[in-house]
Amino acid sequence: MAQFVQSTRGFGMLWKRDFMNLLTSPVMLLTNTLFPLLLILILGYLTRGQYGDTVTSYDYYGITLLVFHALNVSMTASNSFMERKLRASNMRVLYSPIRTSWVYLSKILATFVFTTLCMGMLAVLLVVLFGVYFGGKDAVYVFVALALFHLFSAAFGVWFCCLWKSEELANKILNVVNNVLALMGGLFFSWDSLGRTAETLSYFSPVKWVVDGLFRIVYDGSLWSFIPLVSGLLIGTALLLLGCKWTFRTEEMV
Amino acid sequence: MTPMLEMNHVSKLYGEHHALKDLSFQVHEGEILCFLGPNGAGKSTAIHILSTVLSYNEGRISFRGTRVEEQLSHYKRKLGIVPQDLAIYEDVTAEGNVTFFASLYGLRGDMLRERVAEALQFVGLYDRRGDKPRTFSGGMKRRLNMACAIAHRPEILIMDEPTVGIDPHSRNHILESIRELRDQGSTILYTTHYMEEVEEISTRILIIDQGEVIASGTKEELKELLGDEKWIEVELEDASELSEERLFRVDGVKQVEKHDNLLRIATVKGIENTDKLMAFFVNHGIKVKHFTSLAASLEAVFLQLTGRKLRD
Amino acid sequence: MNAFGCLMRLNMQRMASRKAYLLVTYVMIVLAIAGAVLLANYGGMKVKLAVVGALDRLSGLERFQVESVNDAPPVSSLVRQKYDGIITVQVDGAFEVLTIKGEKLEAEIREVLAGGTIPDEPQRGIGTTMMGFLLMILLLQGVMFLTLFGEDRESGTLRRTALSPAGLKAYLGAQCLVAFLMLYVPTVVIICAARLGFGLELGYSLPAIAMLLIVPVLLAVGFALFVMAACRSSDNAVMTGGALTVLTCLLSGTVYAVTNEQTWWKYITQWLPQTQWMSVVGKLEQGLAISQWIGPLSYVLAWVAAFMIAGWAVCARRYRAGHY
Repeated sequence: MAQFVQSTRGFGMLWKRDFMNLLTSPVMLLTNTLFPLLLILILGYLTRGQYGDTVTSYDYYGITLLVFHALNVSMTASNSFMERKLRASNMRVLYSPIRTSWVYLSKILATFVFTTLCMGMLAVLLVVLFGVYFGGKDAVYVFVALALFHLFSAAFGVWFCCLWKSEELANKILNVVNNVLALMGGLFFSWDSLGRTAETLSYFSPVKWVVDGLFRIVYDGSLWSFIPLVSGLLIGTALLLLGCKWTFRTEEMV
Repeated sequence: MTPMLEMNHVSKLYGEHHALKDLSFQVHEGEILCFLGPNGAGKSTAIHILSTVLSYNEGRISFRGTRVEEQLSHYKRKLGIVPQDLAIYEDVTAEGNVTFFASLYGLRGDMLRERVAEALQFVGLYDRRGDKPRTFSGGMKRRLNMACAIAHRPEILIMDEPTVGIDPHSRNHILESIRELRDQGSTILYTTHYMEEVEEISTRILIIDQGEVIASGTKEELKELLGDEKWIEVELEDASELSEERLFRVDGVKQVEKHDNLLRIATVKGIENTDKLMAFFVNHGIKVKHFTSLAASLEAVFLQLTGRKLRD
Repeated sequence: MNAFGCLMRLNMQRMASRKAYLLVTYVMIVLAIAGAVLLANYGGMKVKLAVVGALDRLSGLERFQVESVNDAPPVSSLVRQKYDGIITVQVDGAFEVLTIKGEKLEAEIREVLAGGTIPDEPQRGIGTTMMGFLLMILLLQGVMFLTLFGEDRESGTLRRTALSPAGLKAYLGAQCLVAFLMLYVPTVVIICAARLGFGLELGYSLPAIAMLLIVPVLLAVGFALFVMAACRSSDNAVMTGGALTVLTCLLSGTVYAVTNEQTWWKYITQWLPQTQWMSVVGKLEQGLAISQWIGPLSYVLAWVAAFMIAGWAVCARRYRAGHY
């Protein structure tokens, strides 16, 4: 029992360190706050002529680009995990008596908390600046689903690092994969209008499922998509954690 | 007496390559066991295996008589590692770094603060505890790297080439600290390819080459291996004209090895033949660039055992 | 082999060992071409309508992509852009239009369904669309192909090479040339395979495509050099380059045509090289005379030169200041 408590404390310390590493990195802060805000501002402004007053371009991009931000959380996670400067220190953590799995779990959790807080801040700014509609009383479901997508994405980024054994390679691939998934998920423009094949293909992108589910909650007031969406994200996260367990080898950190 | 740490017939394979071949040794309480070997000898592999981050293919590792795998958490708690690469956070203060790593070993509250201060004092960085390592010199970073490993007072400290690439002042400081730790009763496993360091601090030495232990013992015991031989190294301007056989005519010469313009000559200890050897080269019109006597040193032991120099 | 040749060979070998980079890049290029073909085959961004009720009561349906449904789809299907509008037809032929895409589109739908006409909006050709998609991918991947430069800087091998008789110029020149070849040659090969193997019509002749592609690849390499030089770590460069590429490609209408009435916005975005590049490829595909596109083409080439010179200058300055 005493060992468990001590080990848990160790996890707390590790998590705090990982969280602080993210918080004190200017690039991570900008990528998770200013970049999505700027993207929403630009795309919202550019396309406002294509929307009416009931649903504005800011309403559309406010949600789709928060999903895009959530998707890119994977890159934040991989950065916090195996970034060159942190690698040796992470290695040293492995010498300590805490569980090996806690090294990557801590990164996932720290990324999740950090990016979810950033999302919360972004959401407040979007409501205040552009009056983005997040579903009124159903907004809580939207943010729970988005937060779980952050968790899924963080787990995805860390698993990708375990798989490729290098943050740099993982990030470079994720950079491209995320943009493709975002395009296919219709985050920037109506991908489905490229035809039936494109529409079918788009369902391979988890982004499509998330964004469809969110719009159903916000605009139809329908919560039937909430449970499958949340369950899907949780199951996906669990599978990715298993993936991390199978692919994370301490000797590859040596 | 049960050894503190024991590696028993451990082998590690990378594909077809044997990084460690049937490696066995014991570490006893209170000693400074030095791993001596050239780069790539398998020292770091052995260290990584002992620190449990690297798996091994065959053999057994025990801590106080029990398999390490059966007491992993307990074993890790007793271990302090000073890795070869600097494993510190550049943007966290020296104190923050030591506090963080020490807390992973279960220290907290007043005890944590005391031990952190003690570790920083020990490595001579207490006055700079509020500064971030990015403002430190290479030697100071190495010392902080060491402080992070000793704050939890490990029973056994494993140091992997902790003095690589640092200034003499910091190097002396680290070596002095190691002697102090030994005096306090710590057990230390130290790897290096600097034989001067080994001569200075070791209580026992393990010479490793190509993943195998080729000799072990105290420095005196190892030097005994040289028997009645002493080695002389001669660098010539042009050795192409030299006939090695003729060198055997010089008194006491037992063995000659020629590598391009470099000669290594084993001669019988006690026969003073330096003048005769010099005269030999002069008489044969061969210009001598350097003439070094490798008196009973670990370098000479390594040379005798492997036919190569430590830093070849 | 001279120093430049040695550097070229070394960098080629290093890049060739990174199969994951290469695979992702070339798969993306294939996807870009496939995407452009798909878009052209499905008539571009045709307005999509869901019609509840009898279709035969309406005229002008061929102007739209129509799907007949039994029940009115939820509002979210409009927001998700599954449909641009939902038409509910009554028994007497009267109809209601529900859209979130503004009054202009609603008026146009009403006009057409009531038997009127609206002028056709010019559609992008398949070649222009393909060139737009490719530009974005090349810009994204260019930074990836120059990460060797970032790595060398961090590991100190850049300084070692720069100190050798090869010098910094040859080092950077070899990096850029390898990135250029690794992007250009496979892209042309893939396009040739699509054209000759699958007989796809791609808007331009093969020699024209081969000539045209030199420009976006040069732009990608120049941009990558500049971003790599400006950012202190290669990680930051990849992230910054990716963010800038996505933002500017969206603003300039590289991925899809931006229709915005604001003239001041157009004034700002026309300065982007991507906007001018889209103008070049659009005009070329329409078969317009050289005088029509030589201006924007020169403008894009000026950007390439500016990126190269600025990238080189930053590198040289930082190198001299001892940062590398």
